[in-house]
Amino acid sequence: MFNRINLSVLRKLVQLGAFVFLVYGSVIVGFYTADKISVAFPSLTCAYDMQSADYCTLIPFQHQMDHRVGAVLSAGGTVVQALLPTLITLGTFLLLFVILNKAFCGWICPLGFFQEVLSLIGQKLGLRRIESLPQKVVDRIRPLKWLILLLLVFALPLLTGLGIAGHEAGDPFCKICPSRILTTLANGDTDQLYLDTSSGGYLFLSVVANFIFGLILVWGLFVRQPFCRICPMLALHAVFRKVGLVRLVKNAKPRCEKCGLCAKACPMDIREIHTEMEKKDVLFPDCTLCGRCVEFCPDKDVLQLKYTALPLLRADPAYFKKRKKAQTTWEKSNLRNLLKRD
Amino acid sequence: MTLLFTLLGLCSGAAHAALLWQPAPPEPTQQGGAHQGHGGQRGGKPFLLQEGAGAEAEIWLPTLVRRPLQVDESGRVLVGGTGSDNYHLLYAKKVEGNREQVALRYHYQHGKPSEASPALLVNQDKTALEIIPAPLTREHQRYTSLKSHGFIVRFDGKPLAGHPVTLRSSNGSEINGETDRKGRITFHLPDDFTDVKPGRSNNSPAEFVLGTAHEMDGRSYQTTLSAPYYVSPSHWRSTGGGLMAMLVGVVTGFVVLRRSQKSSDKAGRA
Repeated sequence: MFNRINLSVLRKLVQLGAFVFLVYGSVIVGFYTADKISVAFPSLTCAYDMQSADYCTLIPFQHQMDHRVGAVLSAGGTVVQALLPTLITLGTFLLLFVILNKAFCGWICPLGFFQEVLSLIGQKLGLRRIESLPQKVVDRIRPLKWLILLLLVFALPLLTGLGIAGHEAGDPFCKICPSRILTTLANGDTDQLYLDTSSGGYLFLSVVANFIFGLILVWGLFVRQPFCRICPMLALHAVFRKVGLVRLVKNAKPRCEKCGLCAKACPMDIREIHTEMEKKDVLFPDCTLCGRCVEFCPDKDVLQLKYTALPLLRADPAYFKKRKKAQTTWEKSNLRNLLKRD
Repeated sequence: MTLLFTLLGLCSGAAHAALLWQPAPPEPTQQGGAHQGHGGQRGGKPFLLQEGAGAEAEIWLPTLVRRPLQVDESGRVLVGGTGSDNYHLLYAKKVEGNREQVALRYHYQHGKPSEASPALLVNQDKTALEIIPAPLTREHQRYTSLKSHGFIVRFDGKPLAGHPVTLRSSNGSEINGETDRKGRITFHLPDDFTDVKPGRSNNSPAEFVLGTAHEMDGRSYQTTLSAPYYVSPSHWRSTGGGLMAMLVGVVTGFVVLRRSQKSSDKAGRA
């Protein structure tokens, strides 16, 4: 059995454990907000989930923009006074973020894990999957995460706090966040699956939220990590990725130019991991530190996952062969092939 | 032997009215229409201590520090800042001969967690006969109509099994129930609001009061726990509608994928 354990299997086990802990963890950490781990967690664990172990940091950011920053600035307070709670939240977020860096996306996030499970189901059903999105599509999608972070997490809540936008815009990202629907449904609570007819704004946001969740349910079967590509948490991580202790390092060799297996393995379609030939630091903004690029790199030590200076996983030809074989076996064993055989 | 009697006179004007915390209308200078965030009202929130003549009133901080509250002749109490956030307890006790009355109310101050978990305040023995929210609602959660909420009744720190508890709402509903063997009771809050308007902020909350009484060694104990409850959002939120919007997303997802696969097939053939 231990022979079958590779980084991807280990990661799935960690993700499963993190999912259970974050979605149902109140039985361990406690029910109330004061009991939660940080209330500024670097992945999408939701405050609407009554059994959650922590809340994602995007929640306090939106609330602070709305109730604190906007209110203090409107009342003539200073920028420092207005931003102090936000800086404390950011500091708390960074304390955790430094430990795992962007691996909070690839190893911990409940929504990320859910999408990987959908992907596994798609694979096992033998669906005709799109393993890599076209470059044009990837390039068009990439700016969306920044737009969502700036607009939905900061700008609109701030405008609400300043009295310019309606109360609907007070926490607009939470209103459309698929993790809110997922984690509450995972607790048997259907309260967050709703169409809100109380105003045009709420109606629009609730339609968008459910529509996105529906899209994820389908696209997750065919495409890798559909929501992660536009997730504002990915953008927030990208801003601070240089301070994280987990690193992705590349020692490019001439053979790299012809290979490109790393980019094919990447669930976020980061082609730069292949094309980058000079820089050692290849932790790109869209990376979730899943480590698949290292697993599928056939050249010794070209790609490395490191914890500061300590190597966690190095590209290795023997590991690659074994990993590739395991992947081929895994992909072949699906419902479609099973029915064909019969 | 335990003598059980119904909670007296919360709404019905029976012989003895109960000691009870209620929100008081704000003074004209305190009124403000804007949304005030979680907890709101940093300038102080007024309460009325019904039947509070001769009662001692305190506010308990999340850290269990107790401070006296000033009750004026009309029973009005202004609860101001304490230096702590999160849940506080409004506590009042009145002793008349062999009769001991206690009123409890958990009051949320401002909008962020304090240094202590509300579990500390909730689980602390505060009086002989006590009604404990199990659990107390937390942020992003409120007491709402059409939802079930649990409570535990304790006497001298031990659960009271098979004990009657009455829920009365300011909208006129009354529900009687009995605790189970663990002293637990669950109330499904009544949907007794009239003239419901769409939207949370367009509907004022109502009040519910849980009351219970107990007699031991010739001494009677009477306790109330009051809290606000809100109109169920199901009046303007539809799960079926949400499901429909999700299904539209599912169908759209399939259509977009199919088109993308077709165009990729065409490109492959070309």
